[in-house]
Amino acid sequence: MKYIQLALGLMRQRWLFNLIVIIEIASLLILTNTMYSTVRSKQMIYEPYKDILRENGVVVDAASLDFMECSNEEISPFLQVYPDKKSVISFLENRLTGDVKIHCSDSLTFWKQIGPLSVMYRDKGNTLTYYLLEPNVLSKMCLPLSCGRYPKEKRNDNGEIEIVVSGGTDASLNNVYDTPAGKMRVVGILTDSTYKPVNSEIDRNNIDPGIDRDSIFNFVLPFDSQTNLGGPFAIAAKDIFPENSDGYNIMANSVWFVSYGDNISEKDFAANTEYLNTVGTVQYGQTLNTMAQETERQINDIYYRMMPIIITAVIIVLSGLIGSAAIGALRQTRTFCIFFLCGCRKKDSLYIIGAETAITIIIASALAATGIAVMRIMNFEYLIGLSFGFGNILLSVLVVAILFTLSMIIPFGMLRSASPVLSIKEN
Amino acid sequence: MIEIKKLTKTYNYKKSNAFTALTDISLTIDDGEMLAIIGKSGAGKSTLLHIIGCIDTFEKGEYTLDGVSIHKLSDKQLAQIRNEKVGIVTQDFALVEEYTVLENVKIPLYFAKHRKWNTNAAALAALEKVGIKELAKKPVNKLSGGQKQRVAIARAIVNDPSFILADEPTGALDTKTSTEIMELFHSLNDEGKTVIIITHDPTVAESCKQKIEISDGKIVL
Repeated sequence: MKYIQLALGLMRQRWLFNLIVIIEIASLLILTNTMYSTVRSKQMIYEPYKDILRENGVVVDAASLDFMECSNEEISPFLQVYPDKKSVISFLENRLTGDVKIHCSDSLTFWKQIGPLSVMYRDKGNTLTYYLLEPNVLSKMCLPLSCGRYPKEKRNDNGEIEIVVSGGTDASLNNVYDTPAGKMRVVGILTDSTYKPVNSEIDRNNIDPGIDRDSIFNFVLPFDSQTNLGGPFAIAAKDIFPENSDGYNIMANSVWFVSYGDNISEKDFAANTEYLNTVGTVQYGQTLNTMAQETERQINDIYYRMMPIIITAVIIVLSGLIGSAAIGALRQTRTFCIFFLCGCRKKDSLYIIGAETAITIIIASALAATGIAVMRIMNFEYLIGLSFGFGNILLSVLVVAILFTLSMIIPFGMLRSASPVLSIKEN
Repeated sequence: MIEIKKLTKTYNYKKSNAFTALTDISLTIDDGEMLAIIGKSGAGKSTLLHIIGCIDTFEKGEYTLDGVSIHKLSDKQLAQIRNEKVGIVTQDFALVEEYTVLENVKIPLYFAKHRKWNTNAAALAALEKVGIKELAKKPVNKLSGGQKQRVAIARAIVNDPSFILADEPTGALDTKTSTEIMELFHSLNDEGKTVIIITHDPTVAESCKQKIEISDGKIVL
């Protein structure tokens, strides 16, 4: 306690200097956490599929199955009885030949970019290359209204497309969104009783057959158990849902990873591809490996882009902090000599400097935590794609430990070699 | 009581630039004594005072303070002596300029083994003793030289030490203020504290009960 009291007294002497150091450390903590969270958010979605994507196989866009638009005739009656995805996958695996396994992901889907954001694929010559992006970012940043397919017409007198959207989002009645398809006005919020978002099928019998198929929008983003965010989201032209009706089910778009064993024959591969194309679209030129490479490249790109910034920031803050600690120790040598006359040991002086540094870092950490909390409240984590978690705490502790250790080294050395007697004589 | 026998202090001991500041000093200072140490600059007065105040060490000889041999004490024990048994006053006051008067006087209380619960009360009592209680909340950089020296004396006595060591306490003060400060030392001595003062001022030396002169690291008077 005495060290804290004395440290506070010394800090008060140089409050402006300490304030600058506190802001500097807080900025570093926010910067490192933000950058870490950016990379982490990308890794989070990739991690569960990392092993699968290292296997030999192909990527299948199974969206058409969700919409019951596949050309496979035997699957339709099956779906009437077993509409869940697990059963469908099992059904399909039994019909494919060779060592084959289908991995179905609820949290991935393909969307072509329409807005300014590059979402899921890059146009690389004639080949589309896909990579993974976390759904919680997608849901907030890209979806539902800035990309995807949109109702063709059905505009109101103001020229706005009237849509209904799923509940549990930020969208409210009469919200108007600018989209590539034009202005959209939310005229209805779907409730749980009006649709079942995942792993079910659209009940076509309850849909007016006169409605254009393209006026249904199924931007379903599956729930992400890790982040507890995201969740299915649907947009549809309002006309698709008759008033006061229940039981309209919207099925998730899906990406399947179909992996083959090492010994799959070319014949089996071709047969399986042909069959899979009846229930979805095999992405030619997009093997699991290329998708893994693209995803890793995307994540590494972020690392490479951020590393110079992080390293520069760390060097600036560290040099500032070490310098300030050294200047502080130098200026305070006389003070510590006075303390020495009054019964203070050199060791006590170090404890006081330690307390001073600790107080500075604690205040800076609190400031940084507040800054990050404000960022979260303001939805920055979705706007710029951040995922905060336990790793942030570990990183912050690590950064703080490094700062503390380094900022103690010079004062420790200076005080260790300083002679109170000589300093007293000099003064 | 302070007993020093054949004490030798060498700076940079065993190095090529070694310099002996005190040679075979023997000295006994009884409790309640008021002693002036005089001598030319560089004679070794301050070195002797620093050794007596346990802020410097020595190589040869023996020094006992109230029967305790100082030579082999640990840093912690030496710090405790500086804190409890000895009060040090210097020519430049040795105050933390940005602290208030009260905060300066409280410094030794932070390092006391048995910390007083009410440090403010103890510090204010010491300030009252030196006659500047009303300045308690003032920053010391706003004080005059005489007031600063009173603060330094208050800090020196706040832990009620037996020995007051003063290194040129009036060196930076005018005659009138010097007289007031010396009166303060005399009153402390009257209370039974042992006061050792280093001075160049013959008037100050004459006002002490005893005086010794040091020349070239040896006691000559």
